[in-house]
Amino acid sequence: MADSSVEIIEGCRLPVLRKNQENEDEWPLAEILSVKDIPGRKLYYVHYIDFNKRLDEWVTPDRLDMKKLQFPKKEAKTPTKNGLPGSRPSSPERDVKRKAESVSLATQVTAATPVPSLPSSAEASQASVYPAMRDPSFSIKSREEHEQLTSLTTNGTTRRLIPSQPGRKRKNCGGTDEMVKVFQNNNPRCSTVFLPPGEMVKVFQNNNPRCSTVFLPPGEDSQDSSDGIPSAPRMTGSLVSDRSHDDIVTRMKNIDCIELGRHRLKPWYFSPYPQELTTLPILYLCEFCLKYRKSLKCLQRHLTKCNLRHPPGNEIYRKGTISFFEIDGRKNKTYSQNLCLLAKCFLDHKTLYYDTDPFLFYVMTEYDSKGFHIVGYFSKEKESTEDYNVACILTLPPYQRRGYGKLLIEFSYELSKVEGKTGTPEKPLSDLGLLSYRSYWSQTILEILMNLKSENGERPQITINEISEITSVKKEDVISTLQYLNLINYYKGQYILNLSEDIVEGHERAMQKRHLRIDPKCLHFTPKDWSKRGKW
Amino acid sequence: MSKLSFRARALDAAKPLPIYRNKDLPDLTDCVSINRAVPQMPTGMEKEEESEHHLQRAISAQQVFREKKESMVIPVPEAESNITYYDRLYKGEFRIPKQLIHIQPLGLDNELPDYDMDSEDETLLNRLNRKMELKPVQFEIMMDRLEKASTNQLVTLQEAKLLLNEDDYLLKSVYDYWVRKRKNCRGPSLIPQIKQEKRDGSSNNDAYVAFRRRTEKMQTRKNRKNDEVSYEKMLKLRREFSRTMSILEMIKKREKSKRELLHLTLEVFEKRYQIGDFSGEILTEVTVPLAEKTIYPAPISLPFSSRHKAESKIKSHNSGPKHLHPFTVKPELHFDFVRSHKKYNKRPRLDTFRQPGRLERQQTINKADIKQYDFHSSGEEDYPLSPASEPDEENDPDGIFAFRRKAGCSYNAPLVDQSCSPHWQQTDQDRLWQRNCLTALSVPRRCIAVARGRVGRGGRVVLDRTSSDLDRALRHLDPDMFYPSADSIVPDLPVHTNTNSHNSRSSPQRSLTQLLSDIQACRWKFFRPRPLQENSRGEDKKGTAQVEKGGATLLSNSVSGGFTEEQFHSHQQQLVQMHKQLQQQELQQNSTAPELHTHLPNTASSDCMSKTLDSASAHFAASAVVNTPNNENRPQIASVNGVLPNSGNFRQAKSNHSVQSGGGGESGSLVRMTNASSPQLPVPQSLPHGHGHLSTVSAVSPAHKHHSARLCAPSPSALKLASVASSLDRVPKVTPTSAIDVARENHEPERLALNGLSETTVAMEVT
Repeated sequence: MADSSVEIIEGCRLPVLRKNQENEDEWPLAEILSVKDIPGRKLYYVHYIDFNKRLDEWVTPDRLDMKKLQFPKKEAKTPTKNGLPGSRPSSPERDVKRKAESVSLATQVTAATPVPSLPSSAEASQASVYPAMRDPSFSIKSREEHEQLTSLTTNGTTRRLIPSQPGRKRKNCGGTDEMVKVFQNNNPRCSTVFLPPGEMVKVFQNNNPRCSTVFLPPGEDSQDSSDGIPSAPRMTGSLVSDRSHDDIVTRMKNIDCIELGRHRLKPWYFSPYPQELTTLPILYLCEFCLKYRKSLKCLQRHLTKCNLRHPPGNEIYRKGTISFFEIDGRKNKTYSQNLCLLAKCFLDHKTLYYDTDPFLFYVMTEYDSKGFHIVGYFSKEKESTEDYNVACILTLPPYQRRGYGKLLIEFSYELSKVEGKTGTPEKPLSDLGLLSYRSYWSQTILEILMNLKSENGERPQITINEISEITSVKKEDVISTLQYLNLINYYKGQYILNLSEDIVEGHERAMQKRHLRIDPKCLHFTPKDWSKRGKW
Repeated sequence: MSKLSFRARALDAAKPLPIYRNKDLPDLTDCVSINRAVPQMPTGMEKEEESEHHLQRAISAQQVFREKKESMVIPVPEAESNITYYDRLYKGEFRIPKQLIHIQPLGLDNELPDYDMDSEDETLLNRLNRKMELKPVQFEIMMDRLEKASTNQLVTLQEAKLLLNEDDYLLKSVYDYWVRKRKNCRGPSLIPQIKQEKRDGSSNNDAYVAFRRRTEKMQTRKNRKNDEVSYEKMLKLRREFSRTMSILEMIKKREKSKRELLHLTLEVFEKRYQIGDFSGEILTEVTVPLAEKTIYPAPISLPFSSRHKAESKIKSHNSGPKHLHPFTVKPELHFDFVRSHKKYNKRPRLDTFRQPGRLERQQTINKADIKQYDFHSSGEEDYPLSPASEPDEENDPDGIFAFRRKAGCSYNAPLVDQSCSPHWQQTDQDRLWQRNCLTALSVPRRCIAVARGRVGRGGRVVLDRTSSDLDRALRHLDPDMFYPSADSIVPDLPVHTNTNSHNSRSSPQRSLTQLLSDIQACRWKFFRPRPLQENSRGEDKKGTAQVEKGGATLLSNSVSGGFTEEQFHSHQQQLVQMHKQLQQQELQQNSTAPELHTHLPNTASSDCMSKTLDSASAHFAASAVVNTPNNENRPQIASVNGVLPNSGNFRQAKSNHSVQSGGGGESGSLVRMTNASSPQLPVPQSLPHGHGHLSTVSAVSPAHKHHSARLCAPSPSALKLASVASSLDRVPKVTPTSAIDVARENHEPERLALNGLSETTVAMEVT
């Protein structure tokens, strides 16, 4: 199908064939993120627009609908030839460069003229899908480096060091020394400003986000100025909510397959495993210590030395075959890091930018005669400033859709109950995370509401705060769940909770399916006051 | 019902919500539209992801069907769970323990190599195994070590030899193999590792760099208060560790010597057996000439142990017999003296006078002793730069009286020559005796050797005798004939013998002296006549005092038939000063409220005027000045006591001396300032004699203020000073007179004096 006369470059959009769950053919619009030349043919890495990144894949040219090909626009919000995401405000010199490039590259269609083949509405929606990087600080130098790299590597998936990562600097972080440190982070964008020391501090302290505007050409308003902060990501939490990290490297899966115990997992997202391992067809992980090995032989050798048969932490819960292990991210760095690397393969927004020190990891395992097999885990900040009781949460793909996710969530709230706090998962939630949490919240709240008995003939009633206290679910989450379930109604001058038949029935059906529950009696957990322990 | 006719109240989380079933509410449909009054809660998802096709489908499916449909779930990449070789890979079974698993904090996995053999290695191993036996783990250990020892640069063969300690053939083949493999390796290491961040920050945006250190969070912002304390604790800990190290080192030495001794004894025994010396005759024959030597096995440890003993003594504030220590002559810092003096008022019982000597001694000990393991970090020992982190407070024998550096003050090194020595004759004793001076009694006209005075409880004057080797000799000396030995050879450091607490060590001979000192202590008046005598000698004394240099003082004194007049003077002066200050305090409390008023603003102004002069040093300067009038006042007291004072000349000598000695310390310069500015005072003579410290202080403070304000125009400011002084009514009268005398005698022009003044003022500002 591919027309060989037209060169498909990164940033092009065109319908790509994929099978849907009913195994029917679909032609969703997709974007070419990368092209690689393997002897004999070309492969294209496509992202299906309005589909989750986890479905991105390498496709053969015959799956591309070349007739509807649209090239990236000059100021496109799409990646350019070099995989530079285009939605960032660009600096003048970059523009020049790009123009020159596009002229030389695009032979048939001038890059400056948008291709009118697609409806504009689709265009607009695409734009919002890819805010991508807004880092104008791309220096020519890095581009040149990149180009060298490109010419060296055979495939298009070049490992380019993109100096974007603006991340989010914590606001009001105060002290000058911290500011100086930020500066030392050597963000390329900032290093070009020269201010007297005192002033520098002021700029950084007062209007951090605005700092970026210094570099922007007039009139170009970065729509999320907070993304433009030239610094490392925030230090708390484990998720990145802005998409500034989405350079082309992290937008693409880099591991083909991971073998973990009995399972072969297809990673969904990028994970910073050592780069030399990303070319392997299969990455072998020790099922218990999660160390990565390049070959089965190495894993075999490793297993002769690794006698771990459970996560290297304290077991704080056991009921039946389900156990939970608590692992301190500071004390057991290697395992925590390996766990994070694995988890990153399935969590889009997880950041591994910083060390694991401020986190505790709760690993859920299922026991069989071989040992305690990891099923899923969640991480949790030792001290959360924002009532987070979960940072990252993941059920490994082989165990998904079997109630383990809900079990993990339930466990996280059980911990919060012991701590006497309400908690909420760190944001942003993924699609699966949202569904799981909504489902858990719904079931938990409905369980309470339906079990409420009327006292002395009066109608049973409950406050949102009470629900929150009983469940340890944060008030906002209770409200949003009630709202989502459409339970809150205004009736005769007051708010009421109204349980409709289908909700009651749906709940009863769901609860019948929910076999896996956490038994609080089996939990042996004493919360620690991490604030008194100094550094985590 | 109109939809928009009213606005629903906000949802109150604390308000009870009654729960209805749908069947209870037939008319609910009316109310549904108001539902929007409840604030829309965010989903918590990224906006662009929220719109994703599969999610929306799943959500709507849930909304509609209230349960998931298989086709409506969000599709994910597939996962397989059919690894057939799993059981072969993970061998053995693991029994579930009955108790919850509790992991030991310390893992043992460090001993096993991180490197895992691959199939390529296996072929090499098989090849090698034809010639020798090499276990996979051994091979892995070798590779692991090579890998971990090399960074960017590969380990050389020589280094590898040291590293591996294997036989040459094996080493060579493994090394060569490793080098080859390493060169072919795409990654930076054969053991794949997560990319580390680079210190220069260049890796900040590398997607493959993970788990960066959170450096910012490591700051102990929250516990900043504790920082210094913990820093000090760390210093102390380090010091104690280094001490432990040296002790252990010594123990090692001792045990080695012991072992050697044992071996030698054995050898001797064997030899004796061989010779057949069963009766021990030969042995004794041989050992007799060695008899002296047998005393010596200890010399290695002796100096160490004695030092340690000394240290522990210092630690425990033990003022017992001091060990033998050659003590270096060090001109005592003047301000030290003054400061201790000030404290002396507050806590009369503590022997502040000896403080610098101790300090010095302790330092010597420390250096000699711990030098080996004590790494001087950030100069904490010699020059504690930050005041609060003064190390080792508990070890400090001077306790709260220890000299502490003040933040923001820079201290000049003491100048050794005469002109900069402290302005009291105290210097001499200090050089010789630290805080004690030779004391003689007038009534039993005899010398009681070394003693020092202080004000005891209730203002009593206590003479603390100290024992020295010279005691015996001194006691029998006629004070007039008194002749002290040269300073540098004082063999023993004095012991304080408080007259109140009987020293058990003191021999019967001491009881006499104790009695004497008791008399002294209880009846101060017996001392009165002494000053008179000195004063009469003041004329010729003056000459010597000006010529005298360093330790020669005493010698010259003795030549002039001197009972150490100056020592005694200063001693007395201190004591008198105590009295004076006590009186002054009373005065201050009772009668002189206005004076207080004048005083306070002045000091305040001087404080804020020269910012460099912080409160402590101002205080300190004031106390320095306080000394001046005391000096001049002493004879007056004597006159009060009914003895005719020949004070004029004496005073002259004093002031002369102080002029000469000024400039060494701050106080010295202050004193000089007072003196120098005084020639311009119009009415110096007419002012009353009796004046207190307070007035002096207040007089000086403005002087300082003016001069530092306008250095270029000293005369008007001096005049101002004069007017201020006269207005104060209690102007240091004596100082002017003496200063004038000085000026006349030395034929110094006023200008010079003023220049000197400005110089000193500058010096003050620098501090």
